[in-house]
Amino acid sequence: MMRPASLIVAAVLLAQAATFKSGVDAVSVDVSVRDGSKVVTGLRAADFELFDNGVPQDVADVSFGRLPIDVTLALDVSFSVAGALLERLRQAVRQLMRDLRPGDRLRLIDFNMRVVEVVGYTDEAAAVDAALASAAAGGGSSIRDALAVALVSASEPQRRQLLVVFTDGADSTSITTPEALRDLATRSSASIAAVLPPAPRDPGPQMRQGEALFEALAEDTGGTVVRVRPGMRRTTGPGGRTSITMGGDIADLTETFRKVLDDFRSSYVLHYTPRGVAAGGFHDLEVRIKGRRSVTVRARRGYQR
Amino acid sequence: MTRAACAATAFVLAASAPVAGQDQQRPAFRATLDVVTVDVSVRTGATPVGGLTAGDFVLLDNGVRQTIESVEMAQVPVDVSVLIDANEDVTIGLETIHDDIRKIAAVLRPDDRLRVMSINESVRDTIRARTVPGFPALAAITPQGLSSANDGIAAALLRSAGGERRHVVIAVTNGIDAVSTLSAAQVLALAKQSPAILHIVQLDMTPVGEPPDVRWVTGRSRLDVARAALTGLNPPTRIFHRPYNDPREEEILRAAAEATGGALHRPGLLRGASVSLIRTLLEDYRRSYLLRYTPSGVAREGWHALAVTIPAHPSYTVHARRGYGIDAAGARAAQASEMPEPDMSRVPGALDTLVDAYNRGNYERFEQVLARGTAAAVIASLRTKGNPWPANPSREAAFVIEVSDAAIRSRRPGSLEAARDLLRHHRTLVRHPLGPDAFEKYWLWSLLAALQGGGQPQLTREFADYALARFPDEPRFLLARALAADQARAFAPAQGRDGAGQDAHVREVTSGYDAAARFEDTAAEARVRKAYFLHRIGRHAEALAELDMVTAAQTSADAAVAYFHLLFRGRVLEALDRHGEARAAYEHAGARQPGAQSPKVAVMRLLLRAGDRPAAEALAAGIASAPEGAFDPWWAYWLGDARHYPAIVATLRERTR
Repeated sequence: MMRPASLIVAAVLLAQAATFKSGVDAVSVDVSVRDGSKVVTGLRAADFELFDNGVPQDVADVSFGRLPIDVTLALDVSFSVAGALLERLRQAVRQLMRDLRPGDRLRLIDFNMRVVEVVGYTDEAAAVDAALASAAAGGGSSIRDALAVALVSASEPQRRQLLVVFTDGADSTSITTPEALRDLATRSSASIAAVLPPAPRDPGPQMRQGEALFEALAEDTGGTVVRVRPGMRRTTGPGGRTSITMGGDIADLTETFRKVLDDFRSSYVLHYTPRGVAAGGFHDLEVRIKGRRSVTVRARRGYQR
Repeated sequence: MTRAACAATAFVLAASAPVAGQDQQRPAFRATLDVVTVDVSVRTGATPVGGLTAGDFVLLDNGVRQTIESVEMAQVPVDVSVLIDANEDVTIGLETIHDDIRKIAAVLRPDDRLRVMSINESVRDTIRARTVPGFPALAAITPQGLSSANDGIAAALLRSAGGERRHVVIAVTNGIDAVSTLSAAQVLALAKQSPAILHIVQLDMTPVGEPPDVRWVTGRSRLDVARAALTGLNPPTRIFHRPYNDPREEEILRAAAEATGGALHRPGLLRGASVSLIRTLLEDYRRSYLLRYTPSGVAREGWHALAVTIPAHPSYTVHARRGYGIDAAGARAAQASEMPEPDMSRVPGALDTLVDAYNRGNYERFEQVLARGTAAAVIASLRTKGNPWPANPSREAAFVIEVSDAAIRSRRPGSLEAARDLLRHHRTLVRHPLGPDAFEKYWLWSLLAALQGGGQPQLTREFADYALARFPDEPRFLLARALAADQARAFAPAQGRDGAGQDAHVREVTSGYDAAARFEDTAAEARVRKAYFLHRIGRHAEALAELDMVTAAQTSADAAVAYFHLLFRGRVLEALDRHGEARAAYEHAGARQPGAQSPKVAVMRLLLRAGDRPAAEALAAGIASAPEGAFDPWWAYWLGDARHYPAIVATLRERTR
């Protein structure tokens, strides 16, 4: 079977989606449809227009909230999130675990310079709790390397993939370049959601570069970038070292994680079998809703085969 | 009822000879002989039991049954002393301390008093004892400095509640003492003789290890150890406050709390719903029975083990302190408890300790003391007191490097500036009257390595310029200056820089590396670093040409340089779309440093691009499950000669003995 990394591919999926049958590789695309801040529900396959490299495609099936979700949470445990923030982060993750529905799973990847999968996909809160309790912060940040490992890690094609990264965005030790990471993202099925602490008044070049990359990754994968509202305070100490402390309640961080998950959950998954386009290379995607120009449609920019 | 919810105390009145001027301070209960008063809490389930008389109690003092002379169930006012350990190791827990204080205040009665003390290297009354109405808001507490938890707990226990008041001490600490003059064992001895009840609330503690060898360490300590393990540059003894902290000390503190009828809470008591526990604790304390007796049939001095029971009601939960002590020291402690609140003096500086350890060659101890964040204070002392080795100025110069290194790495405000000023001062003192000599050169190299390790490119540049003025052709100084210039824009994106400024920057960096490349010792490293710079600004072909000029023989002496050479070769070839060769270079780099993460990540990406997803996934799984402690020299690329610092300093120590 061909394995387009960017999308959920087919054969396994076909067996599960009774209304979606095809003898060749199929593609699934996560699509969020909103009218203002309100999720638009009740859409059917016929309501969507999908273009693969500019060629209109027949949407064979649409699912909404049916498929189980695999959430990969990549947590920056570098020096800049040491202290109170780390504790708040632990609490927010525990809540996120509780917010999962039956069938959903969570995987935890910690990174500073090293990238460590501390818990593989699980639905057991105790395992995540134990891993969180032992998390300690320190060192630099290999953000791009961590995302690269998370994106390349094996995933089950019949499950939706959400990669949530929490970091201040300042990469100091990755070997992976921003361009290489974006290339990887187009080969993976995961949507990338970046949760960032409030921006400092004068972010350095690393942080600016990091934020621009997350915006691009979100656009590439149909994901999102969310800044946690102030309540956390960033301080710069001697030698330019920065640290972040929480001044407010944890609700912001907890609610942000919850919102990211809810957003992803309330997306449609469109299934189609590409026709009239070359199989290989980059496939540019565009999704519209017929007759409803006012709604906001968010989907990944394309995928690589 | 839980043991933690109970409170009891004993007043030991070593008052056979009244002391002039202390009558007003002495508790209301007097005797011409030693009289002991024991607080006993009695509950059935969650309910305090009232109505008991002396006949209901059996009290054994060192196993000898005593005659209880009176029993009162008093409602007495309580003094609560909250001792906040605000040392820089405390990373979790203090964020709620203001709410916790408010919650404690909320459960106090109008005639109770609350006191807030805080400690780091010194012990302070943050808010003096006063009743709750009008109790001021607690100002912001910034964790900083080192913990003198033992001294602080002792100071709190010595505070007199006065009159019939009772005293509860709640010490909020991570329990890892760094600079106290008192040991945990001395605190235990004091607790046994104190009328106060002591509860210790341990914050920010995490168990490490497997039973029976479980140690409790702070989050900061774990952080520092992790950083040290990952950078590979700083052995834990350099930056870990209590690298060999004796876990028995925590157990001694637990014993101290329990000896007073209190407990050690790990963590809890102050968090969330557990505040109700404090309410119960205080209620117990207020509503406990006061049993008075005059000890008979037992020796006066020494430890008195107490046992209190109610034989007619075995189901009742009876809680009392475990005993009390009387000896010469105990009598003094008892007298101290009657004294006005003492002034808390600052713990003496660590300079003498450091000098002593340095003289004895006990560098482990030396580094431990420095790692406690004392460097800035030591620098101040050093500048005030002068050279500890008047006959050996080189010794002082070596000492200055190590103290400055610790200060540079310290997070404490002013430390970096103190180190910078000290180094500026000493760089003139190390000059030989007849001109530059080997010692001065070595000293300057060591300080540059320290500055690079501390991530201070601006200071590195300043001192490299100075060093080059003294030793114009020293290759490592040339390399240090080039690296500092390179680092100034290390993370700026290549695009969007100002044109003229960018051109000048490129010229400065490339010419700097070229200057260092003229010398055999630094040629390979200079070319490798120059190649990486050229690659970062998009001049990949030139970068590859630089790398091609470096031979394996040139890099054989330095494993880090050999690794960078191969890793950057992979980066450059990948940028030139020569993916097969890039992968080979990355794989060679990985073979050089089997624990390194970066080559594996790079190969993983290239495998995926080549369509070999199973192999890429397998590599990703291997990366994410690499053993802890695996080190990648790439992570320390910008730290320059800091990788040589331990060896440099060892030589400096030896040369100046």
